[in-house]
Parts: sequence; C-alpha cells; structure tokens
Amino acid sequence: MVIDEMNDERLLGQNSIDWKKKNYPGQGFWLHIIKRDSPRSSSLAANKKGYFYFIEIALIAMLLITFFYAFSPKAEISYLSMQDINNLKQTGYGTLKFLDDKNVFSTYIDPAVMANSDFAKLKMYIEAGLPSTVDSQIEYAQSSTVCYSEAGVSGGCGLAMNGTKADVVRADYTYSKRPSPITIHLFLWRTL
Amino acid sequence: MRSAQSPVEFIIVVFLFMIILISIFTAFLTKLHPEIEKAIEQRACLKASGLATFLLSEPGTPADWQSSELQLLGLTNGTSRYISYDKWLAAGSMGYLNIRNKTVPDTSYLIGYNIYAFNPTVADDVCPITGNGAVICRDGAGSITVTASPASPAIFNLKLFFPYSTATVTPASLEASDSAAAATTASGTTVTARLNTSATDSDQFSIAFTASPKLAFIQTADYKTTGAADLQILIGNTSAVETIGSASTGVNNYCKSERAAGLVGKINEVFPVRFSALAW
Repeated sequence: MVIDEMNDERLLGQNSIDWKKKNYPGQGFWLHIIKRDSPRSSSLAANKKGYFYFIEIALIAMLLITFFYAFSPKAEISYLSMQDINNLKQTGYGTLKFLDDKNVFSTYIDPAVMANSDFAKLKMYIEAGLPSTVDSQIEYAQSSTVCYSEAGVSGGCGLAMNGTKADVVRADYTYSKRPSPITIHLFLWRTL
Repeated sequence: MRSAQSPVEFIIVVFLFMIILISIFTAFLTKLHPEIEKAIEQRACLKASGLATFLLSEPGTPADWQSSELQLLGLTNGTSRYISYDKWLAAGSMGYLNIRNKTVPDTSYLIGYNIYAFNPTVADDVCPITGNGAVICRDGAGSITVTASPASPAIFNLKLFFPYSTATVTPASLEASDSAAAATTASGTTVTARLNTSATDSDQFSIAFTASPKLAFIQTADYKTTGAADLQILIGNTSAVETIGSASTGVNNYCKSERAAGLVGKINEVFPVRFSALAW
C-alpha cells in the first residue's frame, strides 16, 4: 500500500526529471525516477507559468478597475439642492397664482395696453410675497421675444443678473384675463 | 512559500498584495459612503415631495374625514392647493401618532404652514380672547388691533408691511419695555413691534391705515416664552403658524419640500401660506 507519494517541484521544468518516492510497508522506500522528454516538461512549466500570468493579469485588472472606479468623474448630484430648486419654483408659482386669485394682477395689469400697467405695484406685491431669503427678477412676456422688464421697459426677454452668481430658477405664470395673455417670468435665487 | 522562491521576493509580493487590498477597500469605502448618503437624501426627498403633493392635492378618505373616521389623510377642501383649516385642526387634535399610519407615503414627517399675508379689511372677523397667545383682529374699517397675552413671560415680535398705504400705530396698553412703531416710505408702511408680556402684563396696540391695500404682509411673527416655547398667533380665529408631526427633528437625513398654498380659514377667508413637509 502506498502511503506517501509526491513530486518534488524543484525538478519540474529544470532538469526534465520527475521522481516519486514511495513507501511500501515492510519493503522500505523506493525512488522512481522518471525521465521526461523536453516538450512535456516544458509544457508543464509553461502551464504553471501561464497560471501565474493569469493571476498577474487579474491583479492588474483589479487595480485598473479600482483606479477608474475611485478616480472616475462623479455626477455631483445633490438631491437636497435639487429639492431646493424645486421648492423655489413651487414657491414662485404659488405666489403668483395667489396674487391672481386675489385680483392683484387684474387691478394693476392694464387689460389693453401692457405699457400702461402699474409695474411698481406689481413688483411690490410679488416681492412682498416671497421669503426674505429669496431675491427675484420679474419680466412680463408678451411673446417669446418681446418682454417688459419689472420696471416696465419694453425690450427683449431674458435674465440680466449683472454678474451675480446664483442658481436661478424661473417660475412661469400666465395671466389670461386680458385679450392678449401675459406670461409672467419670475426668476428666483437664494441670497443666503 | 515555494522553496525556489526567495524570501525577499515573497515578502515583496505579499506587501504588494496587501497594498492592493488596502487600496481597493479604501477606494470602495470612501466612494461608497457619499453614495449611500445620496441614496438616503434621494429617498427622503422623494418622500417629502410625495407627501407634500399628496396632502395638497387630496381631501383624504373619506372626503369629510374630520367629521367621521379617517382612513387616508388629505388636507385640501376639495380644491388642489387649498388647505382646509378644519381638517388641519382635526389632524392636530388626533395627534401625529394616530395619523402617521394613515398618511402616504409611509414615513416619519413634520408638516407645517405659516401665513405670510392677509386681507387687512375683513369686515366679519371673529377674534377670540386668548389667554395664551396673540391675536391680530381686523375691524373691517381700516383698523387692526394686536393683543398679546401669555400665561407665562414671553416676547412677541411682529413686523407687518402695508404696501402703498400709510399706517399709524396707537398704543393701547404698552409699557416702556415695549415698542410698536410705523415707518412709512414711498412703497408703503412697515409696522414693527416688540412686546414683553407676562401672565399679568397683556399688551395691546392698534394700527390704522388709509388707502387699504389688497394684502398686508407678515414679515416677522414669533411669540416665544423665555423657555423658547412657541405661543399661538391668531389672525382672527385662524392660527398663523402651525406644525404637526414628529418632535424628533434632530435627525440629519431629512429633506424639505415647500409649496405655496392657500389656507381656507374659519370664516372661509383664504390666507396665502408657505407649506412645508419634512420627511426622513
């Protein structure tokens, strides 16, 4: 009965020789030396070597994946910030709608000639309804290209921030109680 | 270790392997933590938005639940964005713990509103005599009376703005430690008051204005005891500031959803309010 059998790997791939040590009970040790031809021996060595190559490639792949995962550009999404922007928009729309419900727009917006509207009072009511931590800019759009500023000056449309940096949102409300509806663009941003 | 491999080589390989492992764990952990926080933020924001949207668009089940058994909480009077004050009071008296499981989405929350403007010339205002709070009462003829009477020492701060109107303040029962004054500019009048009150010191002043504005705006309104407890502020018989919800607002991972809405008060007067829903 064979109770011990091994290959000494020291010889593998070096001398093209394998050997086996067998212990036969009652008979002592027998050493079997096996001469291998070169192709077989080099093939085994190549297989072992190939195995280690695979490990190395796997490690390098893991490193690369880790590197790209850790240093790849991240989408800087802040849901709290997005929620705040949405809150501003909702606040702006709700403020304008309430003023319309309270007939503020029908009182101060001229039904026929927009230029004759009381822009100062409109601005006062709109701004007074906003939180103190919010700044605003108003424009009254007659069309996509013709707007009145909050001071009542006719011209183009768009925000003029004069270099102020802020996350600006726009709440739109269309006042339709006149022959030619006016869309109020309320630009809002936080001051704190 | 294979005998053919030198000890130095083995140590270097093990060392490199440890560096790789540590790098991987560090990279994952440092990146994973913010991602988890973002996920928690996103979930809280979705809950807050959903809660605000649902409460301000649905009357609840049944629609008149304040006079029957509540199945699902909604706060409107049937019109989107119009909060029924009766329903708010009913929800408040039932208590947060009793309405929480009848609210969608299922979450911990704190909801509240504050009135930011009112019609200064309501004729049929009903003003209760409060024993622990402040009342802004309108006579319908160009005058407002402000009364502050707490059960314990408290300070009442009030700042009102009357656009394109001239207002004057007349003290009724103010002491030297109290102040109430009006400042008029081209765009309107700002009335600022700071009243030191106690159980034995009720303060009162009145505001008379000409050229009645469509709305008077509340810029500041808080009434706090020396222990920082909030006292009620009423406009007529409608509370100007209210909250319902969990008291444990100290949690960090909450999200706030805000809406502008209308509050249909006791005498069917519609007040503009800023509604907020905190969820976590």
